Amino acid sequence: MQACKCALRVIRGNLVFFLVYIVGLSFMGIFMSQSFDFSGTEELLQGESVEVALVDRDESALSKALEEFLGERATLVQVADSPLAFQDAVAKGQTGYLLVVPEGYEEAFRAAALAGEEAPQMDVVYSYYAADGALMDEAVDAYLSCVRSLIVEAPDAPFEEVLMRTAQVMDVRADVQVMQASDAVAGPDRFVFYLQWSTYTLFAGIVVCIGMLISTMNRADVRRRNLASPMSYASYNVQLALSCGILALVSCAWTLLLGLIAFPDAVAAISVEGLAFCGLAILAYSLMALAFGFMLGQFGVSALMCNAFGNIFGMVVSFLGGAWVPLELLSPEVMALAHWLPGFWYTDACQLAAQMGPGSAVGDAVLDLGVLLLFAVAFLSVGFAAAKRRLQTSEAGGNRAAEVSVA
Amino acid sequence: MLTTIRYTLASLVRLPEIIIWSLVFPIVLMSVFSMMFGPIDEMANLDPIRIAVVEPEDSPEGEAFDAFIDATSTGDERLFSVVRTASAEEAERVVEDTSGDDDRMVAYVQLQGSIPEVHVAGDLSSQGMELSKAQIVSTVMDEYASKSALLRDMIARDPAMLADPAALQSALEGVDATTQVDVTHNQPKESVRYYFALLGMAALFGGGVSLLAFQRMRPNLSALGARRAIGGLSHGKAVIATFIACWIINFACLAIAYAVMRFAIGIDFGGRDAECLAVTAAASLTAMSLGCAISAIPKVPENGKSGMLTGIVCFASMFAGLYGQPTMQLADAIAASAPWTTWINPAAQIAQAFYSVMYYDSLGPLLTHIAALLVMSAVLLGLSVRSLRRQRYASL
Repeated sequence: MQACKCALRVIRGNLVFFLVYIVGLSFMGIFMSQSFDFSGTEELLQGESVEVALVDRDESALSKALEEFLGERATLVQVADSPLAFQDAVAKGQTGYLLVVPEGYEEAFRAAALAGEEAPQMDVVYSYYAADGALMDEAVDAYLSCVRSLIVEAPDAPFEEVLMRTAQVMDVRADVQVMQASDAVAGPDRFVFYLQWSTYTLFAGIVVCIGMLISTMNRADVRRRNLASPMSYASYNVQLALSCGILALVSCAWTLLLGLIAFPDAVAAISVEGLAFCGLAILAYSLMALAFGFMLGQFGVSALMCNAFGNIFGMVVSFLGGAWVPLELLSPEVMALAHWLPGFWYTDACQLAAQMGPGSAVGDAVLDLGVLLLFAVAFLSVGFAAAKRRLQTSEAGGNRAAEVSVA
Repeated sequence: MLTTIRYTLASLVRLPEIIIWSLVFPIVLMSVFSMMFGPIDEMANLDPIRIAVVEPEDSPEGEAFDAFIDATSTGDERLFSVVRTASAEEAERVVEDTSGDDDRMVAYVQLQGSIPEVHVAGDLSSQGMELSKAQIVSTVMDEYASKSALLRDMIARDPAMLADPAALQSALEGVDATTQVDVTHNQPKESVRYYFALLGMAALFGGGVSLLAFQRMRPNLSALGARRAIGGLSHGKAVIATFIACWIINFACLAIAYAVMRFAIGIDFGGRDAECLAVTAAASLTAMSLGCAISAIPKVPENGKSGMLTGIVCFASMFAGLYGQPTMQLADAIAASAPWTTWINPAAQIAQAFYSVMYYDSLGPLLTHIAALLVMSAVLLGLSVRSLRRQRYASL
């Protein structure tokens, strides 16, 4: 097992990449999963997560009532009344919806309502999440519509009474209920997010480590020494494959075990079959990354190139696999492209596994795993073809080298 | 010195690693972002939201609700795509049956008395559009409930108002009291932030250029280094020339990546290209200093140093929000609760410098971020000064 031990020593020599990608970034995945509120269905529906700012230049009863109304529907944040403060709040996403009530607005609004004219305008600014802003805008329009109706109905009524009646009317809201307790899905959601995050960490980590190992072992002088040794070529290759397998298995086990330890809720909420399929999905994905790293190594790329390719492809596979941005937000063309990359099948397998109940159909999940393994076979095949071609080059000490020596 | 710069440039350009890290990496990822975020930015054209509605009772309230649902679910601009059911049980089943579909039903609605009840599916994904769709359903039903309460209140006070067309029209008509304005140079788009974070990451990964170049300068690590050590040019001048050559090549690559972002992807900085190039230049300087500082760490092999650079850049980019929507939200939360973290993070400073160009009228915030990058650069160079001086590798 000398070759295997030697290969593991090479991997240990580049341990920093394993520590950065597999260990360090996995902990970041855990940290992120823990910090997100996955169980906040009810809270999100109440709109409490939207941050709203009202800049009151009118200081009137209407503007204060409007501020109170917004405070009930969202979280109010303070923004100073200056162009730089507005830009700061919007550019940094401190508020999703910024409403500016101009001076004299109440008076102008009442006059317009009584005259049957269009309501005077207020400036609003949306930040990054325009949907949040649009929903708040709807609520503001509904509030002002109610105020206007009550002014028209009773033009002589004190304005405080109009605002009080408006508050009572706007208090009548649809009753929102969640069909089943969302706590049950919080555990799997966190765990699945963590597994999806590992799309990048596993791919980059395994590709970089394996790519560096293979390119080191394929160096012409190392290769010549190995070929001249009494060890059979088959045994050498088996030992090399074993060391690669050990790395992939360690990465896979680390990712799964860390997830299970960090998210005990997931263990309780996901069925045994589901957990087994999660493990298989990580294993199949790791094997695919291994095959990709092997392929890169056979092309003789350097350490820096392995790192670059691992990162570039890792990020592309993660983004287009739906690990970081939900796939449902993408266009059909991009979705079609995503099917040609392994990340899509891995995230799908993880999601299906998390929803798997005892005795439920596993056909789709098996299909996902099968496609991942096919990717692995495809990369390995290209790697073997590249290896055969390299054997014949002068750098690898093959036939071309013999020709060079003879010449 | 000019000759050294020229030959260092020539030797660096021939290294495919340099071009892949500094040029191919940002351009490939920008192309992916462009493919992905184009449709998200145009998401104003949301498809009708699928909901189930339990047939209301045969009463005035039921008829009014029926008419409301019809109005919101017909025509080209319809908000909802409705499946009507006879009972709540059937509606619940219909909603559950769509679980797992790409465009699933998010809720069913049932009128109780005169107030709609919205029953939201409990297994909605917390990512993506499902919760936003449920929020829209809830907001629309809130509006119906309050409008209906308003009419009841008005009729209770004065039944004759039904005969007053002005009051009736006012009660039923909506108000459009707001105008969306831009206070920033450009309308903020979430997708643009990914490009900025990516440029931050690409710039810092460019530190690999100076890492490699300074490693190659060491006489004990390469034949070229040994030859240069005994050359006529002083060590100090060789260091400066190498640093300048690294900066030129990295800046050129980043400038090309910026041009791709600006012209091919179409991110408009409102004619402030000079300011953006200034950010790129400062970012490149910081990255070169980072590579130089890592190269100065003693007793670590080259691959180890490359791994350290990777680690630093990956973590810095994560806190700049590069890795998708969740990291962007996490980065925002951390920046809001501990703003100092962004001041020591070069990737965040690069991204924020681009924000400043894009969103602020004043040049003040931009200059602050560029100054922060220059200070980081000075600190990193200061740390590596000792190692950059001429060293003795063997002695009698």
